[in-house]
Amino acid sequence: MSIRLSLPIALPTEAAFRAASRQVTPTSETMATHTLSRHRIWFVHSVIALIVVGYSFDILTDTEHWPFSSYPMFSRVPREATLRVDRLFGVTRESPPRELPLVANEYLHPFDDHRLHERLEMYTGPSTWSPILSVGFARIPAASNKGDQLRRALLNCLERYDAGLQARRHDGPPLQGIRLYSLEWQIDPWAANRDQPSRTLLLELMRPSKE
Amino acid sequence: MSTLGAKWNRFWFEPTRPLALDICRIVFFGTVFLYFLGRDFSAWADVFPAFWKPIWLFHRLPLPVFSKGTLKTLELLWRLALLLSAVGFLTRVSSVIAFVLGAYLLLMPANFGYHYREELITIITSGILAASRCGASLSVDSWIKRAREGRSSTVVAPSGEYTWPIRAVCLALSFVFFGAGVAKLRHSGLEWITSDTLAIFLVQSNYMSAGHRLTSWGLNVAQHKWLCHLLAAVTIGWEVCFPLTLFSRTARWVLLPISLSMLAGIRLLMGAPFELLALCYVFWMPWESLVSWSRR
Repeated sequence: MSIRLSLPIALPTEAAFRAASRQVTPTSETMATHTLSRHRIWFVHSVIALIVVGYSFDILTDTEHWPFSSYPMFSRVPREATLRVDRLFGVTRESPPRELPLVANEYLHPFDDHRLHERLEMYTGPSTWSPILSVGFARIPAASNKGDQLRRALLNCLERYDAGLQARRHDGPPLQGIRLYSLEWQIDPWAANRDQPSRTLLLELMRPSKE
Repeated sequence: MSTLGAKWNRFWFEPTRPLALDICRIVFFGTVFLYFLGRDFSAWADVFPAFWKPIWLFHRLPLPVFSKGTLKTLELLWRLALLLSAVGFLTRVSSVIAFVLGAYLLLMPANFGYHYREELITIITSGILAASRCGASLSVDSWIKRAREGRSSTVVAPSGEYTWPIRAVCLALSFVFFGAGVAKLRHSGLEWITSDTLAIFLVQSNYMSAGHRLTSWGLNVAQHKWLCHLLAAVTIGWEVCFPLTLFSRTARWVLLPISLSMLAGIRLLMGAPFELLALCYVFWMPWESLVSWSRR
């Protein structure tokens, strides 16, 4: 392929592409041809420029402008010997009631454990488990009414659990209430204490008993 | 400089047949359709409004969370557009719809908390395919065109139109991995390799809910410090060097298998859902050669 260039990075002419095409497949059967017009080439270069500028900006400035990103997950060396996460537990209507960790995606739909956990941090503060560095563009809303907001957020989680049960998206037990715990582990190399975290109750939301 | 310009043009616009791009289109849109088949986006309409913290795109435009009914309609249209794009029917229109609706639906949950960045490449790739002529040969569109013109078969002339989209997806994927490598070096430096970072991440992932985690093998790997250091070095190495695959055949032969194996390893050991990133490797496949080889 021989393309004559007059600019430092010149765009190929239509004729050059047609010539190149003929060189590659000299066939009389050829029906469809998609030659690149000058406008089309500029358009393609715009797409390429958008990709290069979008990613380069985020990587250079360590920011995220989705769908571009600097992909900062798991980039920090963890310094803590403990691991703390906030987790929702449902309180069943059985007697005696038992606590059910609400980690299955069906229970939290449309959230999953990671996403809900990260969003609850808006009210409870950051945990030590954070595979990411930044979570978006906007800042966390003013903290003055955090307690009330958290209560309403948990109520919303409970209502969505009930809606999922009614819609048969999951087969979990009916719930009397919901509790938000802060769980903390001393990290064990074999995660042997995975099921025995120390727990601190942050908030409880119980429905009035029907008795 | 003219040599540089010629190389640039050859890289992006070297005439190729449409076969590879068409196969990539079929595999990509078909897999995305199947991958998101069970996901219900309309449920976000019922989520507590205070959880809404808009990302920059939704903040700037500004885009709302639509009502449940509207979201269901958009979801249905998106799935239809993905399917039509995969089979290549009304390819230009359907791929543009797949891109626009996909960008909205896939980014919308990010306004409610942690976002799986692995899904972002899906939006970029959809956008590139929407801007391309990716339905030129293996598509219902071309079949209809042939039928109208009374031809049983046709040969589509090679063109740069079928080259640049593939290269653009490879470029985007290179930025993804390069960015991840740079982030590790920026925030932790070589300590990311020399400390117990990877071992700690492997153990920590076993404390989190099962969610995406497939195995607990990460605990076994974490016990071998030398192995974790080696894997950490390999991780940063292939991430930072990945852009070389754009220009070097040798780099492709070395880095593509390593990176794909590492993605599979991270998926198995830590649970990070990297399927959509792995899907983009179809754009690296030498489809022309594979098809020729299979016809022998």
